[in-house]
Amino acid sequence: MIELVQQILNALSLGGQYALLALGLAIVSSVMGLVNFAHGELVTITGFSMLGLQYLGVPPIVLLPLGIVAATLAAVLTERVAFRPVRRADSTTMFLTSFGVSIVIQNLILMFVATRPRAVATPEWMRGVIEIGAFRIQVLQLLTTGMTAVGLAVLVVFLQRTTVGIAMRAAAENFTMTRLVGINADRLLTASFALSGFLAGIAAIFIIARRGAVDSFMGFIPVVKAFVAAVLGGFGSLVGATLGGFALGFLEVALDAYLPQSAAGFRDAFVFVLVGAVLVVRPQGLFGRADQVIA
Amino acid sequence: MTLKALSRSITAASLPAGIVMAIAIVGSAFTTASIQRTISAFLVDLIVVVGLQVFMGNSGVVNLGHAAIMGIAAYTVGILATPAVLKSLTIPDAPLGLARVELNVVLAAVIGIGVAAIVGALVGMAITRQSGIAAVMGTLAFLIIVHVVLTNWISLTGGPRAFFGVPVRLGVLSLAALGVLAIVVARVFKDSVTGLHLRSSREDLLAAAAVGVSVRQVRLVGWIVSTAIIATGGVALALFLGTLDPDSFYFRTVFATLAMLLLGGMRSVSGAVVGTIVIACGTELMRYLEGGPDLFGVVLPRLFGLPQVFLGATIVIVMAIRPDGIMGDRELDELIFGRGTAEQPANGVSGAVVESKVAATVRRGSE
Repeated sequence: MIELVQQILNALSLGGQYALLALGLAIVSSVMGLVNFAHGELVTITGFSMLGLQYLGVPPIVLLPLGIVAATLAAVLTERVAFRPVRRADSTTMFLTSFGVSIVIQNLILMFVATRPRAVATPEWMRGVIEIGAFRIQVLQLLTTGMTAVGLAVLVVFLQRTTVGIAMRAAAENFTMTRLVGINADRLLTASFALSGFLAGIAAIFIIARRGAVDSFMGFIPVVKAFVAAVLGGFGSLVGATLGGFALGFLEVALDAYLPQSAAGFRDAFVFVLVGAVLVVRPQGLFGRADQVIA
Repeated sequence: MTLKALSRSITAASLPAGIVMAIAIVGSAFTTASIQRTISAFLVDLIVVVGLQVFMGNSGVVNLGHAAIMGIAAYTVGILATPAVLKSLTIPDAPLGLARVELNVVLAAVIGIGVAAIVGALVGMAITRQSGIAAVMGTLAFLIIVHVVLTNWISLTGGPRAFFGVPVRLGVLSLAALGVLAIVVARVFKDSVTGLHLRSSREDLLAAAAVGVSVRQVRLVGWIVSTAIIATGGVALALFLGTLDPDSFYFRTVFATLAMLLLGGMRSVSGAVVGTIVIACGTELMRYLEGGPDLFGVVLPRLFGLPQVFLGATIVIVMAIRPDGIMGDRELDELIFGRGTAEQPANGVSGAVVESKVAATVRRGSE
């Protein structure tokens, strides 16, 4: 029982990270049709911004919000520099551009900042454990789950109540029509990227707190997992991305718990094979619409 | 495909194939080991990029999983053809008694390509069911699955350490011959009925399906042809290098080959060849600069990661400025002799002109 509760919390916090990243992917993809492979580099940039600020003497607790700000700014910057020129191109061209951007960012960091992993300090209390009766709960997991919930709530309010949020949902339905009613396309794209960067930043600070170190390729695995989550949920759907993220979190924690020690190294292979099998049966994803499947 | 059309495709492929052969012949004149190795690596890349073109170029669906196919083929050859004496040191506990198996290299190569093609076909059946991004994700997941298996199945592959002792049987000229074969197969496929169907599905999926093209089926055929060529590239790598490690079949290879294909123009077989040549030269230059060379008395700083930045920047810039790549959808023969009937020219060109151009192409080709 205790074991189960702790595993559920484990899955919620892991799934929350995937959901936050997958949501960022889904937002940008639904507004401009870009499947952003460079999304994972936002995690890396968050980490290295925190590292840089740490050297300047900024205390660990302040590093966290500044990390989120850095991710938001970086997302907006990549849109300006790399994605705006290909905005009108087809989705394959945009995807390949993001693939290139991802390689460039990874290797620029490798070239000019660090070739080896560097330690980043997070506040002491984040690594603590709370004991309630027989339960031992990691503060970090509680915080991740809580912040994910807050992030999702903010996102829902933003998309339902603010003009920009409503415009984003409109653009996801029909971008041209949205422009016709007087929404500025450039500003809308900037806002979408800022939002995806903000969500990636929240996920990033927890990924970094868990790892304790940053390196230039750290964004790769999270973005691949987020992709899998988004596709599993039904690509382009925000609800799908969220549920897909949590589904993936639960799947991974379950495999961790039940796979024998000898097969532990193969966990990711099992995860991808299972997700692949689901997609063969339901190409539109678990929560996607069937009419989105073309071939 | 009629015999006449077949011979026309093969003749047309002789231009890029000739360039590759010329590079190999000039290259084989230099006996320096490092130059031989560089040119051999270029030729392996060429085979893979041409194979990648067959599916990606004709279907328009991005494939990130090709390095996994290479890996399966290369490791199969390695495990089957490496002398048992060496394997008793590297993988003594291989399953199915594979540590004691020692096959003839040609047989091992055929099995390697076969195994990769079968795995590829199974993956292809899953991937061709998906559309757009889900298909790309499928190829990416395949890449990671194979990498996880190659790295973690230590008793079979030796794990992350290098697997050494594969018999070295291929040199520059034999690799070039394989490259020429790949180019011819790719061009013949592109001009074949299935190739045309696949290209029509790339241009307009719904229209192609509406006129009776079975998109899923032609995609699967294209995927399998592509897989077989890429597997040949993997086997070629194993048999010229003699050493394998899982990281050779992961993202580094995917980036490099993708940049080559995109720069050259993924819709053209000649583009694949041109892109491979340009990127191979560029990467060599970047590797030289990466080491921090002494240039005219100025010692440059070491810039670790420079070749990768070059590849990434190439992709970004090509996509922004010329998303169709250098060649677009043109082949070298079309560039020189004009277009045949395969694609109808834009407005204003009469059928007679086209026919005469075709006749001219055929005449010149047969001379």
